[in-house]
Amino acid sequence: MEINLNESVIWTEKYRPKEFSQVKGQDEIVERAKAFVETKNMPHIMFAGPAGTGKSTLSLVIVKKLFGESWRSNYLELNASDERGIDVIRQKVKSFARTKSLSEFPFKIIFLDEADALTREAQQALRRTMENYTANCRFILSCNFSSKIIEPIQSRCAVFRFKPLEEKNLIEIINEIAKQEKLSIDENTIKKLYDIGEGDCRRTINILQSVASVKKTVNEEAIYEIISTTRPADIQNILTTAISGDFLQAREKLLEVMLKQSLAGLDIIKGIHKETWKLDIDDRLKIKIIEKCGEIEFRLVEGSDEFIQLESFLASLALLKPLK
Amino acid sequence: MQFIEKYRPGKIKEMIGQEEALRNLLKFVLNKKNPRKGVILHGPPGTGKTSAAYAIANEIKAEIIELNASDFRDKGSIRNIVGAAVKQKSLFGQNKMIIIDELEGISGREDYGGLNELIKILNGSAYPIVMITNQLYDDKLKAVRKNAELIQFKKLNEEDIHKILQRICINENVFVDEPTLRRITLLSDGDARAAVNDFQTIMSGRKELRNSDVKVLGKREREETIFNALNFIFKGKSKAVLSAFDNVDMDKDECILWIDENLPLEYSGIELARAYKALSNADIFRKRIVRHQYWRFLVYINDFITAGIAFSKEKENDKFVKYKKVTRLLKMWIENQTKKKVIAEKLAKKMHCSRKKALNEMPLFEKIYKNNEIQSSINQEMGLDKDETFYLLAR
Repeated sequence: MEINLNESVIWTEKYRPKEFSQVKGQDEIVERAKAFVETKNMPHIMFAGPAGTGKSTLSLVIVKKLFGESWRSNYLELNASDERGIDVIRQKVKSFARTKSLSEFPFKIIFLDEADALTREAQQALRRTMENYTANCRFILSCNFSSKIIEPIQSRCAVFRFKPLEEKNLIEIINEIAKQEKLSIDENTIKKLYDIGEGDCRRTINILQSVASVKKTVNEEAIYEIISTTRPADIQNILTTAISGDFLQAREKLLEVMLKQSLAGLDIIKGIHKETWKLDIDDRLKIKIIEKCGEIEFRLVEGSDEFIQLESFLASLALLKPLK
Repeated sequence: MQFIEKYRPGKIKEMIGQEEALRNLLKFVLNKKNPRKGVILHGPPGTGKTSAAYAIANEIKAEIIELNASDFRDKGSIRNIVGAAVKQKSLFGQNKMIIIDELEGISGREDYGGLNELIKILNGSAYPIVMITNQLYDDKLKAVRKNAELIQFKKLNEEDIHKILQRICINENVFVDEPTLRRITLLSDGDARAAVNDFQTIMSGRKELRNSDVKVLGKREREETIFNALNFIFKGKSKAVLSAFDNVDMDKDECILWIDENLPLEYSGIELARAYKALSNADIFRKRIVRHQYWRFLVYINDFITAGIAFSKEKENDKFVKYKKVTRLLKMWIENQTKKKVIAEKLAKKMHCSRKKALNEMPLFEKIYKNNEIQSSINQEMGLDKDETFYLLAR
């Protein structure tokens, strides 16, 4: 293996496809993309699909093929959920679009990730922005759910649906990495990785690298050890303390877990949901808890302070009958 | 006649509270061997600093020379008034004590040179110079602090204030019931002057007072006001609780946090669950305001955090609970001050994803970082600074 000084040591970047041929699992879309590059022509584009399936990657390949060395000055990457509102986005687009493309390809490209995070109003504004700068810029919009993108925008874009990666795609990718990094990993483990990664290639490779960084062999056991997000013991502790009526203790433990393990409210409630089934209590009680779980998960999404919602959940647990 | 003047203690034995500070002050003025002649009495307002100075002067039978903020305190005045006094022996061979009240009030401009002159005199004086201030750590006073002894006056505790008020009741021959006395005490926040003033205001010449809401009193902008609102909501059950936060100088978000912190100290069991349901409802309306920009929802938020909490309990109670300041935000802020967010931002750029996603991947990244062989490459690639690398190494 040659060492490229410009290469990243982070595997998601090191092994990110740089050629069309390296992009796995989206063959038809890749064909279209190649055509854009060959004809030096491109409409506004929308990439829709699950996380980690190659949307950012394909954009980067397109851009590098179109612009060659000068790609960085002709490409703007924005993330709608990071930017504080559509006005900030418009500002950035405006300053970016001010200068013309300095290459054969007459347009600069703007990649707007998580476009479905924008509200309807923001998307209206985005549409106007797209129209205003059409002479200079082409947009690639990336989203998880195209149904969340307003129709006027969808009608202005060529829409490409990314499929979740198939197991065989992932096996290919992981095997390639394993070869380069001199890892030994068997097919069963890769399948396990595929399950855990839920089709998200970025996440799967991160899991692989994190296990490989800490453990000598990458096997199923090692993976579970490394990636357990909410530790079952902690969640059980919180649950049983809350049910016993000691609210203050339960709350303290909850805060500790959320802060130290940097977990979001949703992570906690998912963990609680899982652990509830394992508790040594009456089945009907479990159902009651699950009911409350569901309600609180809804409120977590509806409310603004996760901690208060979770506290409400803990307080209501004390009203249930005690453990067997 | 103003009670605060009528009942100002003139002798040590009339002072309630501050035993230690009084002892220290007396020791100071009696110690002729101390090369330092200046002492600064410092602490919050209404805690007895000026009274203590007078009481001690009375004890050692000293003639008092006083300067306070309303007098000029420039170089000239200090030298003339104070400077002369410290050199001259009193006409009657008495002790002297110089009292400079509201020390921090000496301005930089009008009292030009005053502080410097003061410092010069401090060490040469034959008599004690007692300086009084609420703001010991004002920048201006740095040099003075270094050249003087310091005696701290802490906030008076509830018992002391209570005793002070009771003494007035006896002397004035009026009756005030316990809950009302308690409310005045709480409202004063360890400030005897405030308590006595409020007391006089609320009496308004009456001879008897029961169950007074003390709402008529204007609030002082301090923490205790929120404590008062909390007290009202947690103890009472009348519709009056709806206005509990009207005079509290905090927005609803903060009020919610205060309730959140102290709720479990007051309620438990089913009352706690009900109250948290109310709090949870308030939180949901909070998000709804943002989402729909519909500000009328504030009304509901207020209803939930006042009546919703108050009515959750079965009956009123009167037990004493010491409320706590909000700690959760501080803990979270501390946690966020760690380099985590900055690193996540850099990671997001590297991995072409959003910051939120990068934060999600952080636990994995932290493990990847543990690989010694690539650490320095990562540092370089991502442009991590020293603090950030320390943070990652410590995880």
